[in-house]
Amino acid sequence: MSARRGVATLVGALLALGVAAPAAVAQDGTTTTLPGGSTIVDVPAPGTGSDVVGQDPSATTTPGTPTTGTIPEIPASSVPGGALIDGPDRAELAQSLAEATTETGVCFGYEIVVSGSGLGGRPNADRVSSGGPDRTPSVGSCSRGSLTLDVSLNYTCSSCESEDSARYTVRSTVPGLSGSEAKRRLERLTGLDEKALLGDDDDLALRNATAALPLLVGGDPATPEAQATVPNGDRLTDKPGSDWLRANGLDALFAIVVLIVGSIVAAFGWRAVRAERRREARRAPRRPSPGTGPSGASPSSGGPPDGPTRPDDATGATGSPGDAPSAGDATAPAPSRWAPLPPADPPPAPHRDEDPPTP
Amino acid sequence: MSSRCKAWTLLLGGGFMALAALLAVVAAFGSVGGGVEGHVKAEYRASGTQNGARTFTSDKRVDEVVDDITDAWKPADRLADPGGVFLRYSDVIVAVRPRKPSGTDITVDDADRAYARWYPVVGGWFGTYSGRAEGFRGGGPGSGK
Repeated sequence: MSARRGVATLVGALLALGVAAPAAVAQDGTTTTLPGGSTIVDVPAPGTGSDVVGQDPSATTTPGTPTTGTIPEIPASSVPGGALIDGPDRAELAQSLAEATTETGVCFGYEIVVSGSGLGGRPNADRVSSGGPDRTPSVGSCSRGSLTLDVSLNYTCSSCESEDSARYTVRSTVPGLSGSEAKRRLERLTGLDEKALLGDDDDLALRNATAALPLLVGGDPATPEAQATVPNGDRLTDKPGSDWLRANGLDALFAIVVLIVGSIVAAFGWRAVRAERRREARRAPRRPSPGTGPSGASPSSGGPPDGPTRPDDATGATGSPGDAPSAGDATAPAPSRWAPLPPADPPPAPHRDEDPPTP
Repeated sequence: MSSRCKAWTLLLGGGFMALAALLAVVAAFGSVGGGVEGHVKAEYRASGTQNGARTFTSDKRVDEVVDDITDAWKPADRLADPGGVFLRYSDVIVAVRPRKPSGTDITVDDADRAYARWYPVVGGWFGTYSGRAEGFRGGGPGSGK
């Protein structure tokens, strides 16, 4: 009997480190069965009561002695993988959350439930908190409350019409910080959205969002290293592309496309305006003009006819070559009958210098 | 609408579109020189240098500062940590950290030097790491899992 008690004590110690097998956990912790058959094992943190998944921890936790979130160093290799995040990373996340809890007095963590198909053998639910992997953030051990990121993912089959979906909320028991406000700030900090939780980097999105929770209550400022070089020859990889293109590339591309389209439209408009002017210029000579009777010269015959048939006012009495009336100007005098009608611009006016002087 | 009116509408409408787009392109190219560091310099109080890194402060919360910087200049990669948010750009890494008792500290540093400075936090995320975190990300923007 004493040997059995000793084994139970040893198992309890392992559970306190968060590395016990679920079968053993059932002796000291609470096992919750989730839809789909998977279980979340909830282990009471040392010095606190037990929490129940899905319920307000404050309602079910027996207040224990307020403690910090510091947890012993967890052997990363012994922590099982979660629904999205691998085991070692869950252990590291729990460790950094525990340190933040020590600093802030607030407990942090996430709980995720995944439903649907395509899980690939991963559990369909897991949690990590400052109390350790597979532990609920416990209000009893946190003097200032808790912040928990609740994530729900639904993967649909590839042949299904419906799309994958993600929902997330932040549960807050921190005085003065509502869940909706915490969610809004978290989105600003991490860029978290449903797309990120459904993308290829869903594990990173979940990890980043959870790790940013302490920043909502002040955080624990990272301190820079004193060393000037990276140890062991480690280095940055995958140099990013141009910042400007990332920030403005799409806008610039759109503006260039609009510029091209606008230029084409304007060019068509310009051509249409010129064509309209030509049409008006063609119509203008046919109008009977006072003081100029019909003559035998055809407008299409080219140069001016011989003889003094050109009225002086055809180019304006005081006109200069540059003052030739526009063909499209309705108020201008009608062009002389013999003036050639070029296909494009208004007829060149400077005929006077070329014409032989009229006797 | 007469054909003449249509022609002028095309000419003026197209010309206005082209002019507006040209102004937008010029404005976009005008921001090339500043970069994210120029934005931080313009928006926040400089508080000196620290081992070569330019430091700035703000009375705003961390989430507000991060939102402002990432809105103006989208980072290639972003790492959130209980100690702050680290934004990676092509040549610099911007660290946005909470300041006690309130406000925010902003550090802009050359990317390689910043990787050494913040190695315990960003190691394995923005580059190689001899420790454990490497397996998570593999390092570098866009590498993912």
